[in-house]
Amino acid sequence: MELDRRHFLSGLGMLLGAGSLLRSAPAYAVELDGTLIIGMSTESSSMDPHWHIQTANSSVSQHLFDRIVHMDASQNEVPGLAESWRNVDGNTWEFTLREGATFHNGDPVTVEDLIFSYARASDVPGAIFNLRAYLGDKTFEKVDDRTLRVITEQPNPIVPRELATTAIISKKVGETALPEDYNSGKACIGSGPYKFVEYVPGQVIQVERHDGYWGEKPQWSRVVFRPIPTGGSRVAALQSGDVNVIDSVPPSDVEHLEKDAKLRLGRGTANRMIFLSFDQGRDVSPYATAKDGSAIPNPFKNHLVRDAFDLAIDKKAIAERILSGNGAPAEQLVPAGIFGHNPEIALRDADAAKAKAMLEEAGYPDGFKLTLHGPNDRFIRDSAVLQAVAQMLARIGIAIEVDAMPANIFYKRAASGGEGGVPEFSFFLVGYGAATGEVSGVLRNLIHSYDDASGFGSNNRGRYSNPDLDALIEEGMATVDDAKREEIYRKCCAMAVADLAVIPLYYPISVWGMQSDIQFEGRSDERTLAMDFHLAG
Amino acid sequence: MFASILQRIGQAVFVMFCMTVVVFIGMNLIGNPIDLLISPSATPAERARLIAEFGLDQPIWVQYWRFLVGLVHLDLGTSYIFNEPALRVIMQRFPATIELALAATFLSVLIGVPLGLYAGLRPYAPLSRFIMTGSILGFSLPTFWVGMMFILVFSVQLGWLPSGGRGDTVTLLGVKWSFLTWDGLSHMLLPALNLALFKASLILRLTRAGVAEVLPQDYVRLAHAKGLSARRVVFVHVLKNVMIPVVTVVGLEFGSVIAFSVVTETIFAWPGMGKLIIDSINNLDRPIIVAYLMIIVLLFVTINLVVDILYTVLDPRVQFSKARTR
Amino acid sequence: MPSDIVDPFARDPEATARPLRDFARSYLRSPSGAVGLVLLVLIVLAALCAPLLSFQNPYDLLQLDIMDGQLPPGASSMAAGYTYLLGTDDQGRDMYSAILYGLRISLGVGVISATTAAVIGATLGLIAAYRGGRVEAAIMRLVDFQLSFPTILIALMILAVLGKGIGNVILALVLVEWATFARTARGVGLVESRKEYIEASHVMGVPTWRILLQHLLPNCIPPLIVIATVQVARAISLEATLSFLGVGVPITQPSLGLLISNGYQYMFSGMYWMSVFPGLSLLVTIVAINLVGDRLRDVLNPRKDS
Repeated sequence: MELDRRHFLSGLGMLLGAGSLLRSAPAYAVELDGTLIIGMSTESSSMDPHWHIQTANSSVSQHLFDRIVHMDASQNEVPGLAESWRNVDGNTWEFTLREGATFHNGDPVTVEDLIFSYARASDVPGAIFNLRAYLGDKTFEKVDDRTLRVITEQPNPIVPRELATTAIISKKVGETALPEDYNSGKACIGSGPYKFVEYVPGQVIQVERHDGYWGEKPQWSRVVFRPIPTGGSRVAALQSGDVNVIDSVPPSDVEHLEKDAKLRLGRGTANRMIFLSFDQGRDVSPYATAKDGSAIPNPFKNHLVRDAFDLAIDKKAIAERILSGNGAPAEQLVPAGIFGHNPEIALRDADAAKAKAMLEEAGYPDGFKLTLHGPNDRFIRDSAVLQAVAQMLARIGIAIEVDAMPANIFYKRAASGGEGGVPEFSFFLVGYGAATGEVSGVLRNLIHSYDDASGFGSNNRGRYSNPDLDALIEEGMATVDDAKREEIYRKCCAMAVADLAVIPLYYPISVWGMQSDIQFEGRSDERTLAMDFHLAG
Repeated sequence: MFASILQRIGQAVFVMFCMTVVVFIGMNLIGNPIDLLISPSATPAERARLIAEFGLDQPIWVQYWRFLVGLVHLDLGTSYIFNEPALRVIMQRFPATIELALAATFLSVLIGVPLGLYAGLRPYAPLSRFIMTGSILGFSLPTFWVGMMFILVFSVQLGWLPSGGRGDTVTLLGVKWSFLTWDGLSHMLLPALNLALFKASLILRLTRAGVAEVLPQDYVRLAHAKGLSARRVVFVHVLKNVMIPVVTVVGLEFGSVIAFSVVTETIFAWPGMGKLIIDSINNLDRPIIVAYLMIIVLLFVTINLVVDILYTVLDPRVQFSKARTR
Repeated sequence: MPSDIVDPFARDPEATARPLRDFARSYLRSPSGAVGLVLLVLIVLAALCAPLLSFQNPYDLLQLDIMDGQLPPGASSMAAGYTYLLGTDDQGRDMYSAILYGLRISLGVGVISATTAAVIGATLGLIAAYRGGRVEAAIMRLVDFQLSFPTILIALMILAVLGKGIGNVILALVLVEWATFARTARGVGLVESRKEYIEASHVMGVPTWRILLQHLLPNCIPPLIVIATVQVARAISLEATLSFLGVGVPITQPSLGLLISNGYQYMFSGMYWMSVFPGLSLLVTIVAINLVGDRLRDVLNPRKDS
């Protein structure tokens, strides 16, 4: 333990009456074919793989259930239960099922199981975070014993990626299963590299290796997941050897864990972007007022104002000082490595003086009054980020207040808290993830104009709207050719950034901590998978 | 007394009724689970469909009526998060919390009463002053901070005790218990101590205050004069009187230990109800919150009843039934 | 009724007449009480005069610079040109100034909420004890009702209805605390109101409010002070806990509690100052309050002298 002992003793010793603090903790060594214990920041809420598709649930279910297409560490498609696939025409895809894949009960995986899984996944009563968004536009047909045909309503270039979200369950087991049978393990029968052993909600999940697995055998015969939600406790559990691996190392601990010879860190830039959104829809925005509190026309309709804000905020400083390396400054909608990322967009250098001049030019020489809203329990160090942004905007003359609130209150107000059920806030911090590993979701849901009928712009809470960009996004979404599509998406990203549809702030970097005899290179989808961890050396 | 107990149960039902109304209105004001959990790729139509599926588009009294109808069928609703009946989700975590609360209460009495007695009997001894100062520390520091310090010192620095989780459990009477294994006990010690610290200080101070009140009284002097042994005086006459406020506090605090184990359970990753309720509030899981609060109300009413009965036993002047009917 | 059982909280009615001067004299007889009082006065003064004693207004965003963040004690500022005696937090807030300002908020929140809760709680508890019957049942059910609510749930509801702020935190704390006072007051009042002198006053036609105020209330004071002392301390740490859970005071105006909880995540990294110094300040404050409370209780209990 590399804690600065002088500081520790001088500080805490005073308080506690210094005791003997010199003994170091014993650690349980990991070994080949042994047990891997993982400390998770989030508790898995159900073993049903089609229930809420949150990171913790997906992480665990990935051990037990295969998908037909898998995602590698940087979210490229790799064969899963389907050994190959091809695009027949714009609206039709065909997937060829692998031979020799079996469920944990010994049954072979068939095309019927696939079709059954997709039907069930889009119809689990009560599942809020469900898979309909990925399955809703598709119909599934059996061509022969090894071929599945997928037909979409519109040309859809990302069918394999969308199907990579959905776990394949056994039709025989699933047909008669009750919701509680998944948690008891009775229905928890997949074809994944691990088999269900035990699930005690909030306490522990245990799985053991499935010896009949079709793919590469993982190194651990048994994996134990323990939820440890508090960051400091999670780090302590790793340091004391109670667990071998933890996810979400808090920013404040990265530096000193890095120095610890007994530990090692793994990093992956998440596919998410945390950003600031402006109200660009309403003519008068409730939280942007004159300094005396009287109503003014919505300043964020003015491009100069948005530009000044973007220039005033020092993203590098936030990434370094507040996130301590757990975030990379964001210059566009998705980080490098995600399909559609435009390498030509560069990070701007912050310039408060120029920003102030621009604000003056826009007609706000003395700034205006503004409340910055955001959640305080959703993203890494979110409330500290909010304060830092406020500091920077205060420097260009904005009389800014920060209102950070728990996510459960924030999201309702952000979605529909305003008059007439419109989004309430004028200027706020949120995040959006490119779950499919490419930019189309961000463009479609965040940047495209809000449209109730088509469902486009469903997450466009600032109501930014640019018809030219809308047309380009729609064109991209229907272009099956990868190279052409990438070209269009890059153009979309450039337009959105130039327009300042939102201010991208940072890409979170997921940091895993592990004992030094374990190796892991990190993933971009934030999942923690035992299959990715290997013995070092 | 039985009529009185019946009356209490009636009141409890009324309290639960009021509470569920408050929770329904409160939760409705705070937010809805759909906006919090929905897939970011979902369309507005999907959002509307989900809101309708949960009945959240209905007026609040309709939602409440549906809840009451379910209640008649002993159905407290299904958790939005866990996809299991709310009552079962809570009952799965109930033993862990009860066990922790019992351990904490036991520890606090074990620490508080003897130290308080000593400090009361020898108020000017240096050790007594030390104890009293210590007790001030006990309830001065926020629980979460003490918990973190425990982990830092005992888990990270010394490596003596595990930093969190519940450890090995043994199934007895169909329930998993930690206290029956060494590993379980070692996991329980820090959180129980963390939770007990505040209560121990409170009990210590009340005990000492009680002793200081009783000692100069005539009857105690008389007992001494009659030649009763010091031990008998302390344990029969003094302790009996001191126990009245202590029992009240232990009883009351037992309920609050359960309700407020939230922080300790979160820090030590103790898989109990306290952590569940925090998570449920954060996720707006209304069925769990309602069911949890109903159980807590039931628990409190029971505790108060027991405290009142003990009151009657300890202090014969307070008559159980008369105290209520006058 | 066994004659050797005497109510522990009963007091000599004549004691009410004791003048203030005697009270002060007997208070100061204890060194620890005196030390507590001096400390408390100093702390209150420091809190009141925070703007005069600090280098920086930690609530003014313009005076903060994240480039000055996480500096150890004794480091000098890159921009503003003064020394950070106790270091800075992640926002570049001078810990020394932040502690002084935070002290204000914590003390204010603690004292106001505990006092309000004591007044409300004692009143209701005494009424319950004296009136009995339906009034008592209603009040005590309200107590049960309140005690069955976890603090954070009340806080979250208030937050949802009224929005976040110091006032709402105080409101939440009052709602959480009053019941304890009510229960204690009722417990004592119950014993007391069965006494013959109360029965006698009642028969003699003394109005209810006079009986409550003149006879029941004074007898409840000593135990209520014990509780109140505990509750001020508790309110302060409860506020810290609320902040820890993200529903406390606004993040741009941290109380001592919020400073501790902001700093605790740096604890493992060796940046002890962000959490330890506010922790120590909190500790000293509460110890001082408790020393004063302890002494007050001893003095208010007349049998100590006889």
